[in-house]
Amino acid sequence: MPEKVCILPSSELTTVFGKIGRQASYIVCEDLKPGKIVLGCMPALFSNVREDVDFITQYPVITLEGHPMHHAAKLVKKYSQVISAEIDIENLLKEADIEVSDSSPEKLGPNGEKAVKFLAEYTAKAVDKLLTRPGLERSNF
Amino acid sequence: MKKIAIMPCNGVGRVVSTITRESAYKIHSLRPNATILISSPDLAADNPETLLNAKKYPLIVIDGCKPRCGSNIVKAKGIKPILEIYAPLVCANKKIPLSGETRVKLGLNGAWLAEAITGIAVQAIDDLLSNKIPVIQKNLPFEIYMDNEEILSRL
Repeated sequence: MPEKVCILPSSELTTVFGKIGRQASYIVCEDLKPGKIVLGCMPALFSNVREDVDFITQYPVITLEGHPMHHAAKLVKKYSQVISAEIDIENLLKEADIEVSDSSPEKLGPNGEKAVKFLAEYTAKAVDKLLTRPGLERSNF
Repeated sequence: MKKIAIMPCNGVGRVVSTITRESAYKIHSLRPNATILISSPDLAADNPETLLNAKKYPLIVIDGCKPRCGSNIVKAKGIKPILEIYAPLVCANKKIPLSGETRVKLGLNGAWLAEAITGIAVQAIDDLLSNKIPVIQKNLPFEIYMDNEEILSRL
């Protein structure tokens, strides 16, 4: 079983879902699953920063996608790595009937905060599944 | 309408990443009609619209930490920024302590550094839009590209 999981938020600057994904990833990393998460950084991964490349090669990866083009997953695939969970934030919130029109990429309103909490808990559950999956080896993340 | 593109590194791992992002939003709020924000993940992933805007407009990059990922991304896309602002240099120059600041939400000193970066960028934008080469504070060793003709031709 893996010791940790890598969360890679796409962290778009210009979509509210980018902000929701980023804030949710901080909550999972610091509050819900401390010590069990490595937080991947897309710009650093693009720049081949060793630490971030190691994150996606050594641990199962969950991407939090804030844009329909799924930028984070696209980048992970460039490194020929498999993604364990690819979460489309907009679709997930739609399914959960959480609308975030009170929020912007810069500032979250109450619904945006609710969306962050929901996404963080949803992601934490996905992390738990990966951390407890027997036989999950590097080769088959 | 003349526009300047602004791209912060927009990373997630460090406090300075949050500061570059906040700076970009502040710059855009101060000069909403003269600036356009470029999202580094969009550019890294070759979003066609983002790529077009980054190439079309003079681009200011705000880097947060040593790997200078923002600058790396634009250069990998064949784009030459007109100005690279390196947040740690501004931090050191202004002697702003960042201990106690968190990446989740900026406190007073994080906001102070974001304001300092914003001030530098807005001055450069105003200079550029007046068809002047930006006058950057002399004691800050930023990389600035002084290719006057190229910069002005893109306005």
